[in-house]
Amino acid sequence: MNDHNSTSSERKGTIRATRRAMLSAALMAPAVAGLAAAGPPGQPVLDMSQDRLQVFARLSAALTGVAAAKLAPAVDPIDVISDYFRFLADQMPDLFDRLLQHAQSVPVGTQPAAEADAILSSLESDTDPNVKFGARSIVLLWYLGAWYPPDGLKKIAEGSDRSALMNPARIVSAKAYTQGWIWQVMQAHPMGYTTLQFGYWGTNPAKTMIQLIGGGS
Amino acid sequence: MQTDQSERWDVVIVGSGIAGALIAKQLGLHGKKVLILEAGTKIPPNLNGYMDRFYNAVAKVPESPYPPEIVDPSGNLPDPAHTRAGRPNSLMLQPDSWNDPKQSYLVQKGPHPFGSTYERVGGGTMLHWLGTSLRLTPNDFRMQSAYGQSGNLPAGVVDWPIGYSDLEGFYGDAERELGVSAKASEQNYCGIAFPDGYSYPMPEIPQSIVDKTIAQTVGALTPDDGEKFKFLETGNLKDALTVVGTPAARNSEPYQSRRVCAGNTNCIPICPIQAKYDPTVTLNDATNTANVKICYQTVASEIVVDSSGLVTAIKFKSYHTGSASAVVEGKVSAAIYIVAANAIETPRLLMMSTGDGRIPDGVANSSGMVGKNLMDHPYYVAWAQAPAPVFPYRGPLSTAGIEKMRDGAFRKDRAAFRIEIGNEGWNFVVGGVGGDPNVTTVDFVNGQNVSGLNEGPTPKALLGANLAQALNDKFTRQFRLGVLVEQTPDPRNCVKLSSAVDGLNLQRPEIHYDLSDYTKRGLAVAKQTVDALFQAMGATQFTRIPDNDPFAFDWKIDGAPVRLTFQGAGHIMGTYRMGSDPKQSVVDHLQRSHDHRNLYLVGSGVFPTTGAANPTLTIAALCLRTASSILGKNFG
Repeated sequence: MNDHNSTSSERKGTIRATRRAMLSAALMAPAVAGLAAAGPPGQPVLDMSQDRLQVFARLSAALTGVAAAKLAPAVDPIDVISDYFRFLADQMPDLFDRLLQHAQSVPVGTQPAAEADAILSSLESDTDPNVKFGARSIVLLWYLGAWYPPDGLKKIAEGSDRSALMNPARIVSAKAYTQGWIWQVMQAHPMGYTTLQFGYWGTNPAKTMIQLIGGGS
Repeated sequence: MQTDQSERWDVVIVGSGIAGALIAKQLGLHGKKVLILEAGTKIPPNLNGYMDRFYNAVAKVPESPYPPEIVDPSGNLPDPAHTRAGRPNSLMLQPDSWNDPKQSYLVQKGPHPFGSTYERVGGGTMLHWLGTSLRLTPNDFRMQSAYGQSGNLPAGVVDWPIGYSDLEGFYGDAERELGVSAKASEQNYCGIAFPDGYSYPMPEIPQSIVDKTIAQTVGALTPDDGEKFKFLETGNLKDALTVVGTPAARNSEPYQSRRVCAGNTNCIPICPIQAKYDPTVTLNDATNTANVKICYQTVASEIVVDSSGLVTAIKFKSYHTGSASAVVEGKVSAAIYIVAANAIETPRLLMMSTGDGRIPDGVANSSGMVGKNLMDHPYYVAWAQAPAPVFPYRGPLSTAGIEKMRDGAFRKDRAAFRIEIGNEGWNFVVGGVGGDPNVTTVDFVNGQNVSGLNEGPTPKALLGANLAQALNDKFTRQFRLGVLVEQTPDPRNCVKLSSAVDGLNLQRPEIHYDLSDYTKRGLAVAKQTVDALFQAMGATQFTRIPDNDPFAFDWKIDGAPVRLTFQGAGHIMGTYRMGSDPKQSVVDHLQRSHDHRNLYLVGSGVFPTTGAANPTLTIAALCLRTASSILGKNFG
């Protein structure tokens, strides 16, 4: 499930070193990195470097309230963040880029809450009316693993009927459904996908929401 | 159909659901050669494909994991005229779909929709059942004798030809076959009795926090609260409202080589670890006897009867998926024939079997009762926010209920019911088919208020920590109560043959359906009970009835107008009822046709009345009794 951060500082150090090493290797060998990320001939190369994914994680943390370290854990065999990055770059390339720029414009801070506030302020200052709905689509993607296109959200939010029901355009994948953060926010588990044990439902959840989604921001 | 048609079988069974599976296994264990004809696709080697379909489904309705696809690639309901072995699904019940034969497999004539669905797939509808394994109460078998003197029971409410004591031992056998978890000392209400020292196969399933919260509310009621619940007409309110653990075919210990329940909160539509019993367990045992064979994608199309009244063959149409032309017709013969195709498909097959016009009303229908008295448990569901977290979306979908109102003197005037406590929050109740957690999450992200939870002059649109906090507060306090109300038999509620056909050019079922005033009176008291319970809990109710709800109707409670609604419970009953009088019933107490002595019609279609208990355990007990009877006879 989502909560698979390493708790061992020694292990974390190892992983960080590894990631730095990978990153520097990529910088030293741009041709190789470019080849690895290349799409079909004639398509622009999608930049999915660790830096770029970290910007996406910081943007997503500000939008969702889930800590960046939970969205993009140091050890991440599931790696749903890469799936979402690719998906958003495909579904709303320009809007996604614009949203990432807002996160990029805010310096990495020591206080996640302040950093999140700064990113949200930056987004709010954007005069493009579509930015708000692109941000909402990203939140719903992380929470539900489902795709609610920005124009659909806009149509309902700006329409006269606030009780109009909007169904998702699609579930992004089985992995996306089972990695939805709403289940952690409600201190439960994805319906049809639990790692809990018999009888757990008779007592209160072992972890608070903040323990599950990180931060405290 | 991959079988040699010249092969001689002892028994041919139509349908691989729980009824057919249980009988096949017993016959196979005793050396009888059994062929099962299953209309749907085969049982897959593991659950991965079904789970993948469920995870990726936009509408996670009960039918979502199983073939055929419930929507086409553009998300629309496909025309049932082109589906080979179609079936009703939950999306077909939407206000603009239910009575459109181009969208709905069932050709629904109203006045209300018939709200229950079923599967046509290897293993049958119990692939998506909840697992509730209740016994009927003794008075459920004798409604006319017990309550008929009042004059308020609708005409047509009859006794069963058997009583609780005839089924008691078979209930125990069924509990062992399915693997039921419960505590006998908690289940002996309303006259339900067990043999001395009886134990269910496994200990009871632990109750959820929702269950415990409602039990605390009931425990805190005082005699002064009697006025608030006076419609229950009970002298002992606390006893009547006792929260009882629900017997469930769900493993509380390893059983039948299956795992213990891990609380995936997904019994419907699919348990990912098969901790909940489903008929594929029994079919596996059946085929392991080497005496039982299943032919998939083989739709029984006619029961052939000779001039002496014996069934001589069953004709079928066998199809391949994805190929328009490949339909093969054939027939199989046996000494005994058993139709176990549910209470809509069984009468459909009987009525399609006219012997080229020789039997215009269909096979087994000298009484004219085939297809009549269609029943369900009209299901009233209400939802609320508890004053403090009850932590839903955890544990099996339901672990306890309020059961003691399944029988009582009030039944002379109105329908009985049981209250099922839900552990899945507002998952299937809010916002129609979309459901939660999606609906409430979108509300708070996009500034909408479909759920009713995002109140205020302008619904809030939240982000970040504020969003997470708001959603945690709302979701952890969600709960719902569902009430299964007894429905009385009425011959006008029926299954007929429509002129509309399916993809095999077979006539589809046409449904006529309404509720009696007796049932509506029970539904009204169900609503009053739930309202009063919410109030006693300090819970805030959010139940909504959409303006275009085709199930809704106007009623009066204490002279005041009220709008009520209901859903289907998935409990399709009554269309070939059992009885002693061949003029008033279709089968005898052994589920054998009065008209054809080598034909059995099994399943909940034989129920003369419904009681308020989920029907599966009674289906199982009746089928084990029938299997025992068949094995006691000589095979010709």
